[in-house]
Amino acid sequence: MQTMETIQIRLPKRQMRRIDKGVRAGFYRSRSEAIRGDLDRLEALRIFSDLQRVIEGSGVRKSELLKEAEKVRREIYKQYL
Amino acid sequence: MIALLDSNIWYSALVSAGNERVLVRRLLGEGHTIAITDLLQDEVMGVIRRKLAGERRRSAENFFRTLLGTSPFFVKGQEMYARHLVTASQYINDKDAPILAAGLQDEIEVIVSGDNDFIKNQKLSFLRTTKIFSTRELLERL
Repeated sequence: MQTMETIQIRLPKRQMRRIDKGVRAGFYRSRSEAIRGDLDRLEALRIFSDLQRVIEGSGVRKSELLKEAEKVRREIYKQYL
Repeated sequence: MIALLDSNIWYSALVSAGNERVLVRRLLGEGHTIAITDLLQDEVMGVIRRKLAGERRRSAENFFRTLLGTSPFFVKGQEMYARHLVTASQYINDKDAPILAAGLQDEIEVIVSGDNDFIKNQKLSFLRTTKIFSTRELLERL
């Protein structure tokens, strides 16, 4: 399990209401988990943007990816299934 | 919502600023979970390795691996969906059967695909309005 550090943060009531709503609805077990979840989503969005930037920057087209994907898929399925 | 994305959604989202990219960003930003199968993960990684080179390839591999490790994602291993493979094969071709098998699991609420083998498959009409969606259809429901 990761080591946790405790910090104190100030949030507007609007954000607190949204967090508490998520906890009450059972999406999160606690306010801390809700905030960690939101931070993780921001991180995922950032990484997704980084990934799309790298792939777009390569100039590769969708049709090329799909064509290659067919080949890769055939090989993978031959191996596993 | 837990949405299983077919690989064609991934490729579209990664290369062009269309609906698929909007969908991935909305799923991530609005509290949903994105599922991907282990085979699909291997496929996307394989395509990255073959189509990109040098530092770009290393970065893309790293970003993709890291992305799937964040909490909005979960990777479904074959052990989780293997029992649905035989059923799935009755409805769809072999290349798409693992994705359908994974999607047949109860916790997967929607399968999103741009592939006509999914969205225009008459055999799957019993799932068509409840579980299988095109990108546009799911965006309208979010």
